Amino acid sequence: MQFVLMINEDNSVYGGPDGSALIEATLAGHMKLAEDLVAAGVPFSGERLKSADTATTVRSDHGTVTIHDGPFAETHEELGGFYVIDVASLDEALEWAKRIPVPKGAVEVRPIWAMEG
Amino acid sequence: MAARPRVVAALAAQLRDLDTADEAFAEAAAHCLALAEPPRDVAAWLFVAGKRRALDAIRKARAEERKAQELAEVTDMADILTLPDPIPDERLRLLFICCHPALGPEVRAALALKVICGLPVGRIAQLFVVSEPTMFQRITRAKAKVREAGIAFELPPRRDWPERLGAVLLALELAFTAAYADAGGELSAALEEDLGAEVERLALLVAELLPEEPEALGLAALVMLARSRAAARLDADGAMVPLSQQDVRRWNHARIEGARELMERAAALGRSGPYQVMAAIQLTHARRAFDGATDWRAVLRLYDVLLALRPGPMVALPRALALAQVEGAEAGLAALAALPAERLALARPWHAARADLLARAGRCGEAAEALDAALALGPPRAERLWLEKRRAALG
Repeated sequence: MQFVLMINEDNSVYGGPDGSALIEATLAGHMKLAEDLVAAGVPFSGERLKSADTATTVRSDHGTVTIHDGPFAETHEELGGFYVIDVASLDEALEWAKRIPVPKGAVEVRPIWAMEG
Repeated sequence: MAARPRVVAALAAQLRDLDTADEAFAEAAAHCLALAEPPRDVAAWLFVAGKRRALDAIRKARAEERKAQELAEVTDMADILTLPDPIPDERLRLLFICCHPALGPEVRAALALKVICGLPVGRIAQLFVVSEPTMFQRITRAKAKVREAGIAFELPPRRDWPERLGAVLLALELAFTAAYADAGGELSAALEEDLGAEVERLALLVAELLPEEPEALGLAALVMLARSRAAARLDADGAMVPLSQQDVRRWNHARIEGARELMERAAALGRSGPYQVMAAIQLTHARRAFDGATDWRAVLRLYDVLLALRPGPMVALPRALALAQVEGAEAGLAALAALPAERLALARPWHAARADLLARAGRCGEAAEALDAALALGPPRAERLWLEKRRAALG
């Protein structure tokens, strides 16, 4: 069963005096996580996203399409990246989600809609 | 039906869907009741019949998947040739699934009561003091989340058990509350099963599987102590007999002894908690069978501890009654006066407790009013008869 683990981070923590060290540590954590996923034989993919000020949103309302500067929702935490993993159950997905390095923020775990047949 | 929890749990574990298991059981049970002669092993028969019905339904829904159909037929035949005996006990697995941390804490116990015990949604709504449509929606949503979110139909790994235990114990406590309030057996009769016996089995099962968890042992002891008095709770007319007036010769001493052993094991683990304190209160009451009197000072002290662990009017209420035993009815009434009367207006124990203390303080008119208020709330038969007797005695 495939799950997407969406990393919603408060990026302001990377801006402080220890910011660059924290970025280094977090990236190293992601490298380690990827190695662990490979070692555990879990099929996965994932990407890091550029910051939310680079986002452009296409909004649709019953046929009317408008384009906006910025992410779809303005929040303290923004989608910074994601993993897609293939594991047996939500419990396993949650175990991996707990291991994602997030200094401050949240990881949303959602099953991917499986195509039938 | 007494076989329900075991059969539904086994079906859910096999079919991996709570709704499918629930429906399959209902259909199998209806079919079973229509049989000219009841099957020899009702649980096994229901399990096999329920599974066949569910697989039929799945097959119909996926008629195009011939391969799956053939596979299903083969396993189905194997089941019919060898009736599983006994059918696998999946109740604990189902209990942990219903109490999964991915479900909201407000729905876990409710889901367990619905799925495992088969309690009607209306009754569960009463237990949680919400409307029936709200509870129905909560349970429906939780079932859908179990199905769609990929919650495993497995027992969680051992290291996760303590984290999930709180929700499991709360579910059992609420089921026990429902069973215990049912002194006259009306609910059990409606469910065609002894809910109290089922809760006791589940509580003992959890205690057996988690012998290092003192609160699991405490809850099992609490349930056993309450059950030890089952035979003494009704008089010849079917009216409820309050604890203090029960004939101790009708208490089940083996259960009291069993509970005491569980509590000793819990105490040896050195971590106290509300269930252990509640069990200690009930054990103090049980000592009347051996000492001839109740140590109300000990009961009061234990309620003080419980109130610190679980503050709230439903603990403060019995504490006020214990206080009245130690310091007199006026002290008890003063303690009751400090409680939020408006919030308790719909709680029968509140009116019954007030009536008791007012009568003892000689304020019979007010006591009668309190009894009328309790009776107006539509108590179950046994409680109604008891309240009516007290009302008649006041004149």
